[in-house]
Amino acid sequence: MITALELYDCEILNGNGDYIEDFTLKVPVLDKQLPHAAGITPYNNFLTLSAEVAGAIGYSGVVTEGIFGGRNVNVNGFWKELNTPNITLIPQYVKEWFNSFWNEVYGNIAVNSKYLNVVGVQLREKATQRIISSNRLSWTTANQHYAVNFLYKINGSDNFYQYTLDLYEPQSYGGAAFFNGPYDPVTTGFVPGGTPTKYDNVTNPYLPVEDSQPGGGTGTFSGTSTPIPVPNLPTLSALSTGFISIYAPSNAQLESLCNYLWSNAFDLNSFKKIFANPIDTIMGFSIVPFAPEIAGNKEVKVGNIGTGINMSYVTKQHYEFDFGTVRVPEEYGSYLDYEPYVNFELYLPYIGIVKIDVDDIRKNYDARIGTIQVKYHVDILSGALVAYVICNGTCVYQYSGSCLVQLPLTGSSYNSMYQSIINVASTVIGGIASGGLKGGVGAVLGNAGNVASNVSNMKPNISRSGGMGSTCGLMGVQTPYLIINQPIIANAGWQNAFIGYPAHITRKIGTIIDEEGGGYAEFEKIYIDNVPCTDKEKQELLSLFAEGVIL
Amino acid sequence: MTIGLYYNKSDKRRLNKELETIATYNGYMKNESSILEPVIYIEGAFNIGNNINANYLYLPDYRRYYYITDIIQVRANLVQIMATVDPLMSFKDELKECSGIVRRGQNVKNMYLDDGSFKIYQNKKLLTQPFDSGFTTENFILTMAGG
Repeated sequence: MITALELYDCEILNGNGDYIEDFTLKVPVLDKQLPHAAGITPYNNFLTLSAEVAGAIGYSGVVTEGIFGGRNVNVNGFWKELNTPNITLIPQYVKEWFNSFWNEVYGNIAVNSKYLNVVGVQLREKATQRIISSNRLSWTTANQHYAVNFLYKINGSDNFYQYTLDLYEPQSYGGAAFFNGPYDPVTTGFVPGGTPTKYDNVTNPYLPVEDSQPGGGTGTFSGTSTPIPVPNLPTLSALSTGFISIYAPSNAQLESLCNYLWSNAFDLNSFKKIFANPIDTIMGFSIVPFAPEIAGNKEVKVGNIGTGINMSYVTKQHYEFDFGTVRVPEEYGSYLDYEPYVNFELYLPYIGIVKIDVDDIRKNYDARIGTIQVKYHVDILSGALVAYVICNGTCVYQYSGSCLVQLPLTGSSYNSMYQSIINVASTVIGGIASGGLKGGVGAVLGNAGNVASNVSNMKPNISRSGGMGSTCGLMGVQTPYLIINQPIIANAGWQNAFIGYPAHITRKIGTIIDEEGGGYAEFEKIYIDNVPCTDKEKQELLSLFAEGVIL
Repeated sequence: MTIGLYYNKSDKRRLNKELETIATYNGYMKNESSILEPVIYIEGAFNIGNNINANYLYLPDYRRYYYITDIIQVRANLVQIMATVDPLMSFKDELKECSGIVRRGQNVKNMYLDDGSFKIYQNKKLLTQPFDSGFTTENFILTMAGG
């Protein structure tokens, strides 16, 4: 907002150049000397000057003083103070202000003086009425172009601006030339002049950078969102190819197979034609944390040699598990229910603890939502899994992991399992860095060595970045859970009545009182223009409303 | 001029004060007196003891309510009352027609704007909430080459 328009000079221009002033020449003088050396006493930071404009018609006697002193004209002087025009810092509004200034000049000239054929402007210091600048036209000439030129600053900035306000070309009436005579400002109005131009670049270090311009607020505000669904399970399966078979054996069936492989009944010579080692036909032996779908029983063949042992076999490779939905409504119904005040972490079996954004789940615009659903897709062949975290019906997070616990059958497979466990351990204790890694791995090695014949009983490690895969995961919690770090509000009694709650809402005061229960209210801004009070009372009212009132 | 004396029970910030009528007097002002901070003189029957609760007054001539800042017994039959205007109560009807942006409010509120108005304890509350189900069993899986 403009708090002040500092008018430094105003001049009459005409088409002959009789009075055309070159403000370029004036600027250095005005800037350095006018406020100081010229002796103008700063009033409210030199914000307030007054301008006098006089119009004159025909002969009515010699004027002895003022701008038309010594002239045989009829003068109607008009003063307009330049205090704090209520306009914003946009050249267009500056232009409008000057236009209204001139319109007011016409409007204040007596009716019998509307036939203007002499115009003068005068700029005076408000306090002393001392003349800063003064000039006038001679008798106006028909069809000449006339204008009033203003030199001004805004809000005490360093830059001068010039604005030229065009007048009508005087028309000839009865031998004399009048400005649009007879002029009627009510019905005719005034033709806006040109665009204010920045006149100098005295001290602004950012010139010639363009002034900032208004913009924005043109978004679509659609806010539409299309939910992302969890995908379907893969349709292709390795189990349908015939290259592999997956069995879900019982302990007794495994024991029978083991005995068979080590027995004399096994024709090793016949087998060698197909495989170098019978154990090579066993591609994997592992534990999964769920019951696979069983299609029936069939005889297990080792290298196409029937063992005579029947086992349950599996025909489905990919599985989906829906672990359900947790609802997390707002605790306080305020911004305290959102990041960064509240933190959500989600424990996912075989993955670990992951952080999820509260703002993805809670939505303050709809209290009905605020749900988290967890689904898993698992490949029984590799143990690979994908965990889908579905927030309010849309799949927002996906994490990968492994839920297959490999069991060793030979020395080499034991080494593989053992190495994978070390890798997991390294991941888990990664934060310890190199110094602690040696001791950590040593401890893991010792534990792993003790349980080589069975599932590793490594102590589960929970890391916020994962590390709960396969072996560790089997010993971890098998149900996902949500961890909420919720702030505890310290609510002073009757806080709402003493200091209120945040609002930033536009309201009529009467509406607050009559329809919304009144109470305490502080105002960012309030218009009280229609209140018939003094300026001092108005200032006090503004202060009271800013500090808080009880409605 | 007529002077209505009241006992104001309300907070200074309240727009519509709760008033208890005490008495009505006739008084006058001297030559120079402000409409905002008037100095009123009452002669005759005014007794401070009878009006000891008077802390508020109304001047119909000025159409304004005032806080009484002091009451001075000038002499036996003359009391001087100094007051300062209460623009809230004086213009309450006009103010009800005014609109503004409420920064903070008791009933007009939007609790989702973080303006730091809520205080929280240093410690947080840890809550855990399990999902409906999880992995519930274990099974051996034997993967063999061939059909």
